[in-house]
Amino acid sequence: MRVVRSLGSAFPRRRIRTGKLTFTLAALLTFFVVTDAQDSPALNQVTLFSQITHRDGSRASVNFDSGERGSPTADTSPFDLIFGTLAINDDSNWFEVIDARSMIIDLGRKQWSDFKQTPSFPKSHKPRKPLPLNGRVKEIEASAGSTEISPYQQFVPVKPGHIYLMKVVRERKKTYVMFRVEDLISEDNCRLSWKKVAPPSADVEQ
Amino acid sequence: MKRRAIAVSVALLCIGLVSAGSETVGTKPERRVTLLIQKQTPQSNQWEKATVSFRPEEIYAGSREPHNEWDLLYGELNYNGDRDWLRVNCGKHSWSRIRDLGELEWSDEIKVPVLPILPCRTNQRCGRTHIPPPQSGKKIQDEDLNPHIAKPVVGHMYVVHRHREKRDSDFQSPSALFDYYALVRVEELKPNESCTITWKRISAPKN
Repeated sequence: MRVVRSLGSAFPRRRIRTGKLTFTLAALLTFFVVTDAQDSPALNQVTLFSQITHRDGSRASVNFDSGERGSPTADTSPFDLIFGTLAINDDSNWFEVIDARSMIIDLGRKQWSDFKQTPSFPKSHKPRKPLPLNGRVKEIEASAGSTEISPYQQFVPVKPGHIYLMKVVRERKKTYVMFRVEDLISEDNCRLSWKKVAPPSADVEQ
Repeated sequence: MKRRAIAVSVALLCIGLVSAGSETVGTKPERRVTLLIQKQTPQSNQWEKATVSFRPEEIYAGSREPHNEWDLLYGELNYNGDRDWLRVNCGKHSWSRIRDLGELEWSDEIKVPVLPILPCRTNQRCGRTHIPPPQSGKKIQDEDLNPHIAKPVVGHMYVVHRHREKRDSDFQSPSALFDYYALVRVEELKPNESCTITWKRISAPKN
């Protein structure tokens, strides 16, 4: 009887301990998941279709706040990046920033795990000139033999497997986004994974 | 009354200045050429079929000039699928301009405006293409944005002022190779494919 009682009393106590342990583990797990999510937010995905090839802008550009696609022809464009508007030497695999004040650079063929923090935009050897005409106009140097197609980093070639860093300017807001070209069907569409990132340390200091 | 007289005088002066800046050219075209969209192939980029030179052959042939220089190029830019652009040679050492004079026949009395050569803006390289934002209402071919680019329209006449800096090796070459005017008329246009023009060199209009 005593045995039974002791067993009877011990069982619920052990049950309570297991419950506490499970709760603690669950809390710790949640904490780590939340912390990790803050450090590297989940990747978003979007597929953009070339404006030149499809003659339709409705799926050519993306808004990096909402992830929505659309056409940047409205009076106030809510989009940030567009694919397939420019062709150089019959190659229309180019990204274009929507706002001329935005800028984009190719960080090379990389994996997401290659970046622990937001890299900085490379500093030019020459002093950066102010954007022309109040910074609202984009500029390209498409003449034969030109080595600098987009002197203000407003256009960049699309390369599969490459990761890009973009300073996104829209109205008075400035954010940073990194994206990777996961797939490219040349001149047709490209699939991106992307996430918002903290400003590069060099930009925070400015 | 005095103000009105001043206003009339100013208006007359302006008309006089505009007239003085134009020249009437009764003329016929010298040449006809069809320019083709530049297509890249492994063998060739068909550059020569997309460009035309307005320089006088008799001087050009005897000069030590590089023989690949061009004056007008069709279809270099492809933006949003539109490749129908005329571009005059404009770069680090060439500051050329083109202006659409509207619908004109060669038999018309053509008033050729003076197109002063615009030096590049400080710290800016000449010949870059400026793309305006859609909401600005501006167009790529607007002269204040891209004085070296025009939109070909069938039946329209264009004036070109070609200017190139002389190199050290050019000191004996005639100036006709470095600064001249031409009129161009678009006769046919197959969108994103070819542009047929007639053209003629003309004397520089007087200020």
